[in-house]
Amino acid sequence: MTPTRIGVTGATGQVGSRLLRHLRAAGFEVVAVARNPLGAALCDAVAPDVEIRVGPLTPDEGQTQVLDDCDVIVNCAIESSGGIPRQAYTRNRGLVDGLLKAKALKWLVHFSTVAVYGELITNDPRPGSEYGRSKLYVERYAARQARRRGIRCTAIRLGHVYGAGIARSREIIEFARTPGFALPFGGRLPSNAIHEDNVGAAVVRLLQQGAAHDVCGLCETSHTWRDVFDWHTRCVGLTPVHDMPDAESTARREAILRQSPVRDAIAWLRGLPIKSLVRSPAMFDLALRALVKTPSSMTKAVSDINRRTGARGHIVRANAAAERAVAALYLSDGVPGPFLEIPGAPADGLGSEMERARELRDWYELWRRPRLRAATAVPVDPNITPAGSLAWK
Amino acid sequence: MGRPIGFAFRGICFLSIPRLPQRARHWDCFIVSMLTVQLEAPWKVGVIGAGVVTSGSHLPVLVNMPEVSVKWICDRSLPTAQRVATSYGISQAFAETTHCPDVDVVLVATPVGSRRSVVPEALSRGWHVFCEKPFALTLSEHDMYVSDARARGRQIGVAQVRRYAKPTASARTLVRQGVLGPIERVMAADGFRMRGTGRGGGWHLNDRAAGGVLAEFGSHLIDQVLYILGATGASVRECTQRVHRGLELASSLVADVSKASGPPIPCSMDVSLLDDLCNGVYIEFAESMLRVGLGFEDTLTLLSKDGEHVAEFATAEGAGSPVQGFYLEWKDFLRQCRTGEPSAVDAATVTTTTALIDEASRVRTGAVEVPAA
Repeated sequence: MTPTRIGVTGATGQVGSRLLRHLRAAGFEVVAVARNPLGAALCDAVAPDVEIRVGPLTPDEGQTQVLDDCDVIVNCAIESSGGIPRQAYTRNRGLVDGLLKAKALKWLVHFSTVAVYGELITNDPRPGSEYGRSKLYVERYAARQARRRGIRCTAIRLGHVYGAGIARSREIIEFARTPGFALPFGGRLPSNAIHEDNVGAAVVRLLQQGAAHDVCGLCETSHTWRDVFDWHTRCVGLTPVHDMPDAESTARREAILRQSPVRDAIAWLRGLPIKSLVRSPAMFDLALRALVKTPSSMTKAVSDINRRTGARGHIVRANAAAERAVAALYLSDGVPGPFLEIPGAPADGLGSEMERARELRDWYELWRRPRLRAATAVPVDPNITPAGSLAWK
Repeated sequence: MGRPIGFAFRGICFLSIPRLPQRARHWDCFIVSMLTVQLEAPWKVGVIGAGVVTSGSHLPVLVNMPEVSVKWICDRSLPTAQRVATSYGISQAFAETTHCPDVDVVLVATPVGSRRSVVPEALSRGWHVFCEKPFALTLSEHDMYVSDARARGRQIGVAQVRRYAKPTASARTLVRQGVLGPIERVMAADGFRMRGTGRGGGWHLNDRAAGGVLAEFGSHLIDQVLYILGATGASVRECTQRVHRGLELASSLVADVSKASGPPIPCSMDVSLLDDLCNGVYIEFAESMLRVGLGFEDTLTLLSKDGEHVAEFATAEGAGSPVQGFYLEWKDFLRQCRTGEPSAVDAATVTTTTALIDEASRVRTGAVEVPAA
């Protein structure tokens, strides 16, 4: 089918806002839906040439769906759980139900996540977090409900998105600026990551050519973490990050795989501040009373144990302070396919290599150093030192 | 009126105690203290506005303060008020302030644009008023509230809670002592790309509230800068804003901030919902720079002129968490109510902040109003 009007939810989000620009650039008629005037204003700031509608995504009985006239809806929205885990299921199920009420809807493209395979993907992928479980549940619910209503549904399991101003890129750059940071396994592992422009381009291709599968992964399958880190450091002029030795990487990976509630409980028990209890005034006095009546050989033995174990605790804490925790995703295997096809980057304009690098650099310049009147600054020309800024490295 | 009686009674009893024998004095002290605890009733506090800041920040602190008893919550949405009241064990909820019984102190946590009738009413009923920030959108409005409170002998304060954040409180001391030399300029920013607005998001940027980020988020940032510097006045040199669909999403202003002595300090203050900025207050000295983190758990760092990390200060003053911050500001305001002496949250100390926001919105140049698509 050729879409006539595409509705996009989550249009202010990192995926949705970028997608709007790609869909418009590809010539689609696009409607962005925002839940309130602030969302509409933010959307307008990102994609001013897109039609923006303000309304609820989950209309009440008798209320019209704000995307009633769209034959395709790309659902990038996520309902927050509001701190109540159960609501991650109920609210997102409600969101899907609301979208499926759109009268002209023929195809629902639903964004899911690689978290459905677990935080640390192994040869036995399964959700290892509540977030992953709820996303998998909603993905399956959407497929079931869409099928029941005769609507096509494609679920996209989206990889770790990076790009200018996106949290993943910020994390990568913070790692790169951290002295002593080393990339596990030298970055040889598949990244399961994807640039925001590649998300946009892949969805455009999907809408133009249709989907071969109902559930697809979306990430740069040929890229390793080394590729992703090097791209970031190259764009912003930082030195490439070091490699972490394989033995240390394996140890960290196994530590994550060994995690269990029992281990956590034992670690908590070990971490109980027993010494502070003994040092409290009344208890300390009691302990002294006991110690004066204890044979010296015994107190000496206890003292030695205390010195040994105490030093061990200090060393563990010093090591923990020195090394920065590396998230499981940097130690993970690749996600299983099938994958959406990602077209090559255009030579210029939106999504081109040059544009991606420039945007990352502009964002980095705004983020890394203070300067006079930053908030309304125009994009930075790397060859010009902005007036009032400091000559920071 | 129980409070003065309590003090007077305790005073009389203590005067009589030294004449008692030692053992009797001990027991009398106990009895007297019990009596004064009974007489010195806790502060009766009412809450107007049952939004996120009330339920998430003020009430958890207030219900844990032994000297406070929260009597009621009032919100134009009665179900919301009832829900919040139930979750904090507060007995009464109202939709109209006219129905609320009298209290000693009232927290006004409604959007700034909708409190123009609330504050005068609260003062007219003889309540001390503690307002959430931003206190007022114009200087005239600010002065009106303060002079009204003074005329009625009531106290009025503003919850500029970030003043209590450890980095901010410690930076103020460092600047006051002048150990790093004279300040050359200040660059402050609080910007992030807002990527989700949620279900009810956006209220704080509508007309009923402040109409934009400068008042809503900028009131924190501007106040932090002025508080750290110990400013006595400020004038806006230039202000630029990015406005979309009538909502101000980014503001950038340069102001000259005056202190009691020395030349004015040029300060740049940026707030944005569109871009990540280099967040923090950066105070530039001749040989170094001080980075003041905006949050409670943030750091106070000494940098070289080219941005290299030199040292981190172990901050001793202030609050290390928002909960501590809210607690300390309430303690200060209640002390102000009891003694009548201005505290760090006295509304008069926020005058320059309001003046700067007011002036910025009037003198803004090059405001970009982007027409709706």
